[in-house]
Amino acid sequence: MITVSCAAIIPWEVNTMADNTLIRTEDLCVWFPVRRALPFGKRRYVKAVDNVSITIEKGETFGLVGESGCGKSTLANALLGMQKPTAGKVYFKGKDLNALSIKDFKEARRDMQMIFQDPFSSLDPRWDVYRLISEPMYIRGGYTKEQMEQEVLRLLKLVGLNEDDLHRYPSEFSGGQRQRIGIARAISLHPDFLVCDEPVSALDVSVHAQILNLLMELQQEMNMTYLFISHNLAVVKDICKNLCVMYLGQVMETGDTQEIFNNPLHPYTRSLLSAVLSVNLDEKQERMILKGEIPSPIDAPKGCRFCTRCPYASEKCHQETPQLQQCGEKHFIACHFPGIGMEK
Amino acid sequence: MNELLNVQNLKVIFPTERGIVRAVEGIDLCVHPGECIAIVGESGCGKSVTSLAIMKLLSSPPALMHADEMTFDGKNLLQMSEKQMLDLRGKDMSMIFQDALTALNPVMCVGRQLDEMFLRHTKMTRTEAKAASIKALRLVGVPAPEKRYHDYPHQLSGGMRQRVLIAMAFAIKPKLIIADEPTTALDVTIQAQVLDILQKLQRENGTALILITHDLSVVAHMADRVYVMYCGKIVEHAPLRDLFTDPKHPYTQGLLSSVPHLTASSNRFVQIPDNVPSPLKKPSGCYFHTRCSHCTPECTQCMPRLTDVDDHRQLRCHHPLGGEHHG
Repeated sequence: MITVSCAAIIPWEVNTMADNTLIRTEDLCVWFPVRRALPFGKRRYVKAVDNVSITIEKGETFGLVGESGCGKSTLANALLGMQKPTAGKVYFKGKDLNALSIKDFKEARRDMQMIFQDPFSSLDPRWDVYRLISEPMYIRGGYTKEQMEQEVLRLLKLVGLNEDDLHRYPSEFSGGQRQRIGIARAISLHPDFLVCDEPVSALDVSVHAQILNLLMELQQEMNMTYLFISHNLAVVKDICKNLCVMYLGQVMETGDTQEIFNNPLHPYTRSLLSAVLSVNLDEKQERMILKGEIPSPIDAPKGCRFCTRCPYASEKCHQETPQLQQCGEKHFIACHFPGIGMEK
Repeated sequence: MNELLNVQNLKVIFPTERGIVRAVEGIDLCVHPGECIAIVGESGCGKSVTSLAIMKLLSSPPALMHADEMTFDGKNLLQMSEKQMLDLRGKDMSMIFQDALTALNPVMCVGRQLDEMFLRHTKMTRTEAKAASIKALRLVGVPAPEKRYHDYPHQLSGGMRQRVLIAMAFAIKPKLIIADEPTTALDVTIQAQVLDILQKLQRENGTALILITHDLSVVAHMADRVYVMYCGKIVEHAPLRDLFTDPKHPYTQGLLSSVPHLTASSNRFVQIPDNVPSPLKKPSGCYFHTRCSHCTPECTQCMPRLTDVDDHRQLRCHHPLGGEHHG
C-alpha cells in the first residue's frame, strides 16, 4: 500500500524550528556559465546544483547519492564555502556562510573539513606524513613544536597507523592507508562537520569495510556530523540516518534512509537500488537497468530531469517539473507519479 | 586436451633496488573454450601481472618471467616470437583494460582506433573497416554510432569509453578475452549496463573470458569458475556456486563478507583486519596468517600446499573452514 499525501511541505520548513540543525541550504543554485558560441548568443549554463534545499542535523550522517555528474561534489563544495552559490543561501550553525567577513569565514571553515575521493592525488607526494597531517595545525597556529608532534602521533594512532610511519611518504602506503592519512589530516582540527566525498570508491572492496568502520568510530568519539557522498546505495544504507538522492542537480528523493530503502518511490532510486550487485547467488534480483547515461547538464531536459531515462515517463513528465512533495512522515519525493511501476 | 589456455607454474619476478618482488609465485590456470573464469584478489596480489604475462606484454627487463608450460589454442606461447605474438594479440586473444581513458589514444578519434583492428588483422579496405567499426559500436550499445565514430576519447563519458574498448576487444571475434577490472572506474548504474553487454557478447560469440577483479559481486554476476589470489599465490579455486555458498579459505570468506549488502543489516561492516603485506616483506609460512583469525603455529611455519578438495576444487590452507554457509 502506498499512500501519498500531496501537501506541499518542504523539508526545510519542517526543520527550521529544531535547533539541532548544523548546516542547511535554502534554494541553493550553483550554475556555471558556458562560453557562448556567438557574441550575442543566448547565455547558457551548466546547472550543477539547481534549487537544492537540505538540512543536516548535528551528529547525524547525511547520505548524498547519485551518478557522476549529478552535482554531488559541487553541492559539497558549496556547503564548505569553496564554491560561491549563484543563488540561494548556505547556513552553517545558523549563520549565512557567504555573508561572513573573511575572518569569521576562516573561523567557520576550521569546523568543516573534507575527505577526498582519490587518496592518490589528494596527498602531496613530496611531503611526508608528519608534514601532511600537521599542515592544518601549522596554518591555524598556536601550537608548539612538541604539542604538534604529540598531536600528530595521537592522530596517527587514532586512524590505525604506526609511529614508524611518521616520516614516510605517501608512495610507500597502500590506498587504504593513504585514505587513513587523509582522514587524520581532516580531523586534526576537531571539526564539527566532515564531508566524505566518495571516501571508499577508489579502494578495494575488502578495504571499504575498514575505512567505513574507522569513520563510524571516529564519529562516535569526536561527535562529528558527516555528509557522506557515494554512488553506491549499499554503502550508505547502514551508516546514514537521512538520505538524499540527486539527479542532474536536483533532489529526486529525500528523507529517512530506512523509509527510502523500504519504500523507494522514485523510479530513479529504484534503478540505483537494482544496480547494486549481490553476492548472494540465490537472491532473485528485480533488475531495472537504466538505458543510456546521464544527459548533459547544459540544456538539461525540460520538465522532470529524469524523463529521458525514466521507463514510465508520460507527457506530463516532459512538460512540468515535479516539485518536492511529502509522501511519508520523513519522506519527500519529486515525481509526478510516486511509486509508479512498483509491484504490490 | 581441450583447454583453450593452459598455464603451468607461472612465475613473474621484478628485481628492484630494494629487493626482489615476487609478483606471481607459481600459478596454474586453465581456461576452456567459451567459459568465464574470474581471478579475484586485492590490489597488489599479482592478478594484473598474471594477465599481462599471459599476453606476453611484460617487458623484460624489468620483469623476469618463467613458466613450465603456457599453451594457447595448441600453440606454445613461450616459444612464440614477438612478431607472431603481434598477429595473435587482438585477433585470437585480446584485452579490456581498466582505465579506458589511458587505454585509448587521445589524439585519434575512436572510430579510427577501431578501424586499426580490422586493417591489421583482416584484409578489409578502409571503407569496409569503417562500416565494420560502426557495426561493432552498435553492438555494444553506443547510440548514434555514425556520429560517435568521429568523437575523440575525451568527448565520451566513462561508460561509453569502456564500451568502445569492449567493441575493440570483440571486433575480430577472438577466442579469449582478458578483462582487467572492466568496471572498477564506473558508477554502479553504468557498471550494470557494461557487465550486461560483456556477458551478452561473450555468450553470443562463445568467447572465453578471464575476468580480473577485486569485487566479488561482479564475479557472482559473470563467472563460471573462480581463482582467488593472495600475495602471488592461488589460495582457492572452485566453481562459482561452491565458492560462494561454502568458502573453504578464510580469505575467501573475508572477501565475501566485506561486500556491502542491501538486504542484511548491521551497524558495523565485517572487515578483514590489517593490510596486504608488502611484496618485499612477505610473511613466513602461510602468507595470510598475519590477517587470519584461524591462525595456528603451524600456519606461521610452513606454507600450505595447493591440494585438491574434490574433482573441481583446490585449496591452500591448513585449516579449511567446513560446513559454514554464507548468506
